[in-house]
Amino acid sequence: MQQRVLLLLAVSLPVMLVAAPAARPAPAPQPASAPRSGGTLVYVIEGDPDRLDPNLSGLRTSQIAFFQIFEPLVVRDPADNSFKPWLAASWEVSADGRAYTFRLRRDVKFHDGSPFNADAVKFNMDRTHDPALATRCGGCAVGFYEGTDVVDPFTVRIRLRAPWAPFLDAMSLFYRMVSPDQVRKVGHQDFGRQPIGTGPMRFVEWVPNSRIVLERYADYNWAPPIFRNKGKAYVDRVVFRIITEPSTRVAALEAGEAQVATAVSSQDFGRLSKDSRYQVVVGLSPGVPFTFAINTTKAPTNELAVRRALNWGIDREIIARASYQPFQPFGAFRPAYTLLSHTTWGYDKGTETYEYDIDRARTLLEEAGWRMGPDGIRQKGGQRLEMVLNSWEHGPPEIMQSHLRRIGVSLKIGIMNALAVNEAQRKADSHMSPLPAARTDPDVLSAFLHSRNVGSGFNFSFVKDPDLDRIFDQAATEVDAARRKQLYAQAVRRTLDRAYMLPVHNRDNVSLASARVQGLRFDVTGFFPWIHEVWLSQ
Amino acid sequence: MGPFVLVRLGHGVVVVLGVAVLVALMIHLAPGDPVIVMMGDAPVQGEQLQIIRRSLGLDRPLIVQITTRAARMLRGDLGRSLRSNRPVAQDIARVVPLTMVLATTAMVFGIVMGVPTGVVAATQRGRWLDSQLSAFAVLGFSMPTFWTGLLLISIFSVRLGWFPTSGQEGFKTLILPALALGWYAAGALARLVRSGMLEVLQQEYVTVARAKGLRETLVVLRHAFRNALIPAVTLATVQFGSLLSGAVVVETVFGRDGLGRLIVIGILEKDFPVVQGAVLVTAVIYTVTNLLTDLLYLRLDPRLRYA
Repeated sequence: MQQRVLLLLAVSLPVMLVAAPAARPAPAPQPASAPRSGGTLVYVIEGDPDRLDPNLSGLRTSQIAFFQIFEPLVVRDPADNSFKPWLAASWEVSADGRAYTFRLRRDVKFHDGSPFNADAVKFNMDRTHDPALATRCGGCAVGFYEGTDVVDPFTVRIRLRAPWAPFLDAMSLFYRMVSPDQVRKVGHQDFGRQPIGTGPMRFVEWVPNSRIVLERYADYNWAPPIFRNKGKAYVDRVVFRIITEPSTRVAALEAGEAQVATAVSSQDFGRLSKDSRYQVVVGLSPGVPFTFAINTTKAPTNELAVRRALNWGIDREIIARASYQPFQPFGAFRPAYTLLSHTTWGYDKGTETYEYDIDRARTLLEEAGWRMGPDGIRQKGGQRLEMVLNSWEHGPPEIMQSHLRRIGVSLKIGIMNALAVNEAQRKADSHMSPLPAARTDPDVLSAFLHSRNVGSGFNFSFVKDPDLDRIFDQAATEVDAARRKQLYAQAVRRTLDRAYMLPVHNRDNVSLASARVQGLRFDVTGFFPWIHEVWLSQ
Repeated sequence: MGPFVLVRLGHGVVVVLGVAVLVALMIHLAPGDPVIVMMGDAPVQGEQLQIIRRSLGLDRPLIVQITTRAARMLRGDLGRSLRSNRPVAQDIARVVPLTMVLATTAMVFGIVMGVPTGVVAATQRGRWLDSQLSAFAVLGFSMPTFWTGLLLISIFSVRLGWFPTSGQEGFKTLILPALALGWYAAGALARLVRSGMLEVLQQEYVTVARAKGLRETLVVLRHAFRNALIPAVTLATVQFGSLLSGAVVVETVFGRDGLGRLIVIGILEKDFPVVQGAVLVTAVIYTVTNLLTDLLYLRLDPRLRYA
């Protein structure tokens, strides 16, 4: 009896302590006034970079750190998605779209004192496209790059094999300038551990799986016009701490060890978004929302009627609300009805094809010969209407399973790591697997839907549609922006009409910051912070 | 003793080699394309993926990949991580001390919390203290370390502010993770020590010692304890081995780098060189630990010396 009492106490005491409000009262933060210099910003991220090298790396967790160290030639203004100057003061594109001439700023220096000029740009472009180095920069023009000419010390012309439309977008994000002197000094492979750029923050140290420390670059004086801060960074240091466990990221914020926690779980977000000591920081992500690739070659999803029924048969509103309720008031993780999120260049609301219509789904299946069986699952020719869906996280899959049961579809769910999910889809062991892609240019859709990417690439729907291929090929090289938008709208309409994919909900950047953090905003991807603009109040 | 050690070392080498071969086979035959996972959430055209595969040698036939890497490892070259291109030897040299420190501290906590608990519980058998201490022990090895860790962070870091929530710099960051791991070990140890003590306390030589008029403390500590320790020592060393890899959960929760984390992330990304190198090193550590255990055994139990 006494043992039971003690056990009860042992369990309830920690629960009470956890549920009780924090013992230490936090000081109320001062209202925002003029930016002040100083302090260390601790920014908690969820994974370790592979290398701090924009020419060779494309991992998001690497970019979040090295976007502070390295700068691009141009930048996309989040206000209107147009391109503005950064390291390049002006630029022009040839009429055939194959040559881009950039006139560079003359006052820029690398952290090691070496000058930034046309030679440096050429070095960077050639390095990124050196096949021996096998760049993992996903947005770079691999396959389209021809060469770079140094026209004069501060003018450079980049030539492409064909007019690659996403090029300027890539120049605004992925092509960032590294110091040629440093690469020559430490070698191609080790540069990523001793990075030198032109950015407002310079590299101090990187303890793998633990932290990346950057400090203010004192001579920084070439902030792009779209920045409010025209001089050097306000904070003395930024420390990117790597914590893979979501609850611990938030615990670090609550304990005052960190000022920003990224990828916050919906429960923690809901709990702390109402707390005045913290502020919500949300970046809406452009690109492909959380979408399932549907295997178009494996029964029963090889039937068009079945794929369409899946798209009519799920209630995306409920899925978004049930799984991600706390994010909804901030516009994040909203339901998605088309293949580009609404902040993407090229998004067209007119391409939305499906909504929740359970009768329509049932009719489609009936007409295709799928008759309701005795156990509530449809059958045709002795086969049950069942399929396998794999994903990385719980939530939407379970809700989809229950929705689809109502129309007589049996959905088997598997939740596992990305490696296993991708492999199962590749081997056609599963019918559906997730394929989101945050990207500012709609060309990313071709990675999922062009026939050349079946097998060794990301075309997990196994789509081989020559008409669709043609639209993508045209759109990739179309110089006229308005026409290009139309082409992508066409591609999306066709994809949705053929139901090659199943969009479900958006995936956005949901972070929490201490109320002390001022001026934090994200670039056009909604994901990468401009640390240069951030200052800490008392 | 000399020949004994040599024979055991010989066994150890065979074990380590066997592990190396098995792991090489398993990680290569496991499903999954590391290049696609390496690109993270940045999908690219298939052409670029092929260039990357070629640069990492992943387009060669499997048997060629395995034998090339094996030959290199025999020469002492553990290769480079497919993900970061860092030398695997460097990664291992970085994480082994971190995990060893955590596992050792956890073991110390486990022994300091568990052994006295077991001894006192045995001497107080059937009384109130016994049941309380036994409950403490059971709680320890029933709660998953994941949960214990998060609980400790919530109470001692966020609420009370006594310790940091995470990290690996400095002594203070070691306490909570070592406690989480140690409590688990303490629980099992306490139970084992308790039952070992109970058994020993009933032996005839203990009755004789009491009859001779020795103080109860001396009877317990000098005569009974040492013999009760034998099964506990076995458990402790087995636990130390499992602490090395079990630490991965605690390392993840507390944001610490470590050997277990290196292996797990390597497996999840199919980073062969990292997995092979790290498992090899782990096998060596286990083998050496086992050898030391056996030597400790000989010291504790004189009967074994003449076996």
